[in-house]
Amino acid sequence: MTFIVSKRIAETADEPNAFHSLRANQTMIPKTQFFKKNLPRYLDDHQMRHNVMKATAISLKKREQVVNELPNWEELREEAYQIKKDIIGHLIEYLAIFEKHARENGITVMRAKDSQEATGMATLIAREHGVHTIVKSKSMLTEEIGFNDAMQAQGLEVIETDLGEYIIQLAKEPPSHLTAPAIHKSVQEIARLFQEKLGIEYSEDPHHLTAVARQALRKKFLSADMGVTGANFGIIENGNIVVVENEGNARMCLSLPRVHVAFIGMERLIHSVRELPTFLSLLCRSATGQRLTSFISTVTGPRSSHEYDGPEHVYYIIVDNGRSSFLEDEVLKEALYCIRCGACYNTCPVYQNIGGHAYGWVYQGPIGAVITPQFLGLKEAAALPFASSLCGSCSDICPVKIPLHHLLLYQRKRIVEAGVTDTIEKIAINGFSRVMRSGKLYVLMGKLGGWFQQLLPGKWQVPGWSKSRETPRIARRKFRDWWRKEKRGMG
Amino acid sequence: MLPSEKLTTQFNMFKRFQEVLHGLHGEAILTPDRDMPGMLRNLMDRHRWQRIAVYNPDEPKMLAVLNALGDSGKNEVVVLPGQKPANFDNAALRYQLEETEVAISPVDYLVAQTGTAVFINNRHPSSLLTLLPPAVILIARLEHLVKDLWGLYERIEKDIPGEEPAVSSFTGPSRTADIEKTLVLGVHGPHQLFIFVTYQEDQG
Repeated sequence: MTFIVSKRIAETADEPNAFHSLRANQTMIPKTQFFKKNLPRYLDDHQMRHNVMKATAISLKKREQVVNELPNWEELREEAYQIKKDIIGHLIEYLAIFEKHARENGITVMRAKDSQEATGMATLIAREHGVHTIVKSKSMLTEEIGFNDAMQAQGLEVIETDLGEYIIQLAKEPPSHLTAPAIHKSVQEIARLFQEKLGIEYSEDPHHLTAVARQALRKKFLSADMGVTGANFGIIENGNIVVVENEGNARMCLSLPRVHVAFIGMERLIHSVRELPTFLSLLCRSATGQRLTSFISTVTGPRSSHEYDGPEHVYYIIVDNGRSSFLEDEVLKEALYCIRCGACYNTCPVYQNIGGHAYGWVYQGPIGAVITPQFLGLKEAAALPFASSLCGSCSDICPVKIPLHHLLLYQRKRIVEAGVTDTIEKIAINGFSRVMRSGKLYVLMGKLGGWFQQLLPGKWQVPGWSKSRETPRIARRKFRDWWRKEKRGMG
Repeated sequence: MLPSEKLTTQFNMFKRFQEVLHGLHGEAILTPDRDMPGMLRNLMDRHRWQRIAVYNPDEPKMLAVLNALGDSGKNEVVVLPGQKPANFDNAALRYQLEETEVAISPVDYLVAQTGTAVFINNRHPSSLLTLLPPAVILIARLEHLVKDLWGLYERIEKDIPGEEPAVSSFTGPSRTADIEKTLVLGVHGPHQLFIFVTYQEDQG
């Protein structure tokens, strides 16, 4: 059985228009402004909601088990917070030192102001080295800058090698979670997808499906010209980067092709290797409930003469794309501490119920709701920070102690101050504010409200609000009147 | 600590390491130095592995391994010497490794709490050796087993002070849970991982 499958893959892999020549997964053209409008569609997708609920529950359970193993978990969180506070507090200086050390190791370092610059640099590198095929591992930053589409537009083939990313590339969908991009898909959907796009027999066996993907991608790995990865941590003291993964595809991307390009978010630095035990423990336990991921690799530079393998050329593209605007805001800059673990997604009741695609862009869940308005604009992403009950579970679970629910509130404030609210809401809030500030008006409105409620039959219905709530009745007899009578009585 | 106390501590840490690695579907085998080549041979025979790649940085234990493998006569062994030969065909290596069934390499440190095997990058001139083949056997020393990640960096600092070398690590075989959170092994990297942990028998 396997022999027949592998033969088929071997045949198709080299054909023009073989499965890998499919259009890369849609770069997320942001749909954040349609958040409210699209929400019913996601809420009605019971299969997706079931998949997401199940996956997040498993993730949380696994996380709890390994976090409980470390009695000093809270100290580690605080340590990480302080480290990040210092890094972000002096980011520009630290970046210069990091860059210097990387250059000393033979790495070419480039700084990209925005996504166009970043993809432009990648194109230049590809052209310089005669690159036709690119293999890449999972990197949210590359999703953010639209790397795949930009390369495809230049006639370059981009192959996602992380299994989850490979699946959504075949499905032409964007990722729905930070660390588990295909988590919204059931095995039946994936089986159908592989059957359709890869021409294999329908199989719901995840082991078989994975073996099919392994075989297909191995061929591409061996012949690709360029490997692209992200970077989990950039180490200031020596210019190295650390890449954390489970499948082994990232290590393949950074050691097989002759060119390695690492995209690095400018905020992803730590001081030294001595901080790795803390950050690796926090990241792996929070993200996937593992003590450590299967592979952790350190990139030190291009292959040296005594090495058997490794890339001949290594590039770092350090990307800003709006991150420096966070630095200007004392409150918002804490959002840059994020190590992209995804734990806040898993614990958020909103995310659990709507899934990742509903957020409309690459960053989802609570951290997404905080940073997206800053990246895309307060108006464009206004709905996101409001889609929260402010339960605070995200702040509680965040391994680097980002006060996420405070940041959500802060973004709400900025959105309102920017004038991005409904006129009706503005009028209502202004009216409410005026009533609450005046004792006389307050009493008057109370009286009026009581009379009004008596006039109307049955229960009050406030549009939308009353759908899941019972409107309380305003008391006929006010405490104030009762007290006045009582006081008189007491003399 | 007396040598025997130290050994007991190490043995207990090994038990923890073995338990954690077992949970990750890897296997750790504790063995006296001189028995290791024989046990490795048995493992090879059990799996009927014949196409083998070995990294030999000219340590006695690796020479012993090579002897053990050579004995059976029918093995095809690709050897990467510690000093890369001047005329080595780099381009062909990946295709050679593609054909191998198992790779064997020494490894520098082990971490008990996480079940991790740690390489000091600059002591291992090939990353592909332990990445492309579907099975990997690593050979470590019991005395290089440390408690946790913080212990690892303390130990490295003690052994090679001032260097702070780059490291890479294996924690169990390659895995994914991308399909409905079902655990699947051997996605891109090795499917099977064995770690021999050796010690000098006449201690304590």
